[in-house]
Amino acid sequence: MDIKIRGVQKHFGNFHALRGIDLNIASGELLALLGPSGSGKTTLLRAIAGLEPLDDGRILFGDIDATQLTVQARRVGLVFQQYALFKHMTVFDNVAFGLSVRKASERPSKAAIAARVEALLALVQLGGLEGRYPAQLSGGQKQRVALARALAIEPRVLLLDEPFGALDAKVRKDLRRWLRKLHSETGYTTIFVTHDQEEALELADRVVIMNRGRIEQIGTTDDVYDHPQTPFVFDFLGTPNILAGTARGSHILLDENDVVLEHSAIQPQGAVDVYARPADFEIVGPSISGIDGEILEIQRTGFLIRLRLRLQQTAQTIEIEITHAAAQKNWAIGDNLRIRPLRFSVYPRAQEAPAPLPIALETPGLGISHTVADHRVRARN
Amino acid sequence: MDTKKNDSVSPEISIAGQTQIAVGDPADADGSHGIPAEAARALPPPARPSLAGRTQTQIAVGDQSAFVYPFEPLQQKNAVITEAPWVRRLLILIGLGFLSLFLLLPLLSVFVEALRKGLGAYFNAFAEGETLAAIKLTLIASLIAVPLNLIFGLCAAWAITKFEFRGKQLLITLIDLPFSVSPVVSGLVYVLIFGAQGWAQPWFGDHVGKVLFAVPGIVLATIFVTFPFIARELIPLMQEQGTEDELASLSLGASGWQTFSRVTLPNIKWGLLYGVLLCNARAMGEFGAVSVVSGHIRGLTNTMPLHIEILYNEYQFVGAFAVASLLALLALLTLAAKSFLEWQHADQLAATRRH
Repeated sequence: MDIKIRGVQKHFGNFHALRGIDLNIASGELLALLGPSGSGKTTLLRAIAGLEPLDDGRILFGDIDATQLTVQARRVGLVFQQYALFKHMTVFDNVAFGLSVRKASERPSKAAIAARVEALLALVQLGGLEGRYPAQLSGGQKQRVALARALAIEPRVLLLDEPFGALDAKVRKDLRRWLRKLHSETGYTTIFVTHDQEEALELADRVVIMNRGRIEQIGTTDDVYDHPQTPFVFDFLGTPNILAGTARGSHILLDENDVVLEHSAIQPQGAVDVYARPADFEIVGPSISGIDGEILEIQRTGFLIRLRLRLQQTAQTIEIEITHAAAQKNWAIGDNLRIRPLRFSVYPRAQEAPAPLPIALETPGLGISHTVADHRVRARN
Repeated sequence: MDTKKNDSVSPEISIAGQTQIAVGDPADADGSHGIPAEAARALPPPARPSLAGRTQTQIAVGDQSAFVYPFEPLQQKNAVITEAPWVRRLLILIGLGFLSLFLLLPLLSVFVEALRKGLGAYFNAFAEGETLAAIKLTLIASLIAVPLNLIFGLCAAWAITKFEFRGKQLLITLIDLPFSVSPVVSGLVYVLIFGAQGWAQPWFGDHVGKVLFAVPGIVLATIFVTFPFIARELIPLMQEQGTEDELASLSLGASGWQTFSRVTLPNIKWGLLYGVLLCNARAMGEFGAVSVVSGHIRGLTNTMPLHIEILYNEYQFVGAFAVASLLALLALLTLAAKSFLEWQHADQLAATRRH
């Protein structure tokens, strides 16, 4: 079932948790809500589930306006980080719960419930464990029982709140792959919340990156990674180097030396910040324009060499990663290098406010630029 | 969880689990090899830091002893961490002496005094009409107060732990009020309300009947004094359990009542029973508040504790101690039931052991 979210607003006291969220989720899509804690991703998930009443806006399940529907009437499948299995019930009773609490007129027969539970347990690869109690299962098994329990009611949408957060790294990885497979087999519209960018990028069809109650960017994995629309997204998906510059036409003049970068896309003009990931630099010869820096630190890992450089003109410190193939073996601390960003994103330089103004943050319409400003202050610090 | 049940269940499970591995059951995909968590924990730890400095042969011996690992510290007589024998014995003696003098001796003396003139006199004491009336009244007061507080306490704990609302902190403070106020003051409150000059008395006297110096007053005072027991027992337990189970249940389509009866109640049942026992013990033993509102009318408004005092003041020692022994016996039974619950459901009660 497709889901439309229109202008959703939510306050907790003075805290503006959701600031006008608009989002379309296609039927059968696997969508990740990604963001730092406090970004509103869990609140949005709970709002879709019907656990948080909205201050404003609407949520549509297909053609049904679900905004005023109760949790029960929404028929969503909820899966929690801490499983929330009913401890005093067997695996069978847990999975059967959603069917057995139905009114007598709508309740399937005992045999039908048993058949459905059996089919679901087979689907989540837990056949034969019907009689166990949650305490007798491993974390991964518990989460699969929770998923089977949620699927038992044939939910309109499956909502997973940090589903792998309580599991150790290896189980998490296995379960991620398994969930991806399960999703392609069952085709339920699925929304999951995570703060783990790797998890979101690996698992989801599309990623929604949230910050301070707003959506910063919606896109496929490649979209958000290759074309981050805001400095926040760029920063959240990796640790960027930020270089100050001035943009004129399709050229950017970096503050260090007289480095000129070509930038084909329509770009902001005037004072800009150039964001570049550590891996997106190349070493260039002295005849090509580039940034000169002195090596402060060399760190060799398996296939990468990580260098920390102090730029000669601005004394700014940046980090770059070079593959072994592109590196020179005899680099030493104190050597001078000339580098050049290969891929980068350009954002207008935010006004350097002396201190963030809390009142301005609450003003609708000004939000995005201030979000950027705040972010920039944080990045600089 | 029920430890006894586990012991009987886990061997079957591990056998079942092993078979699954043999046929390559996908249920084992997360690598637990079908061994339940309990069984895995019971296995000896592979190595311990204390073995680090030993030679190869010593490690082999040490590994065998690893099977009794939880008990090992008791076996070591380490002079570094224990006191000299005479100090230890002295401390144990002081501890036992204190225990006997202040706890066992009074309890014992109650039974000794009660039986001083033989079993015949002991049982005769209960044959007296006023004594029987006192026992009956105590049971009536508890039978009304405990179920009512069960409902009030459950409602209060449910509201406080599962919902957010304004004035929550005030409600928690109010629930604690009977703990902090002297029982005599609690009794006086009812005298002020329902006494001859009390503001509620004119209407109540005409329409409902006598409250003060009658059974309703005693029941009211008992309810007031024992109010916090069940709520206080449940709040930490329910706070620890959070609301996710309830949210899961609601999202699966269960109604509020179904969620309460099928999810919340089973989660708290042992803590609830524990709270009921404590509440009952206090309801039967309450003296101060009941004394103020009772009026000490023999055969009508005397509860057991009050009756004991009257008998004692009249030098009827056998009678006084006989009733006292019955009250003590009821308390001991409550304690025994409480210990039994603690032993059976230690993990669920752990969060609530504050009294």
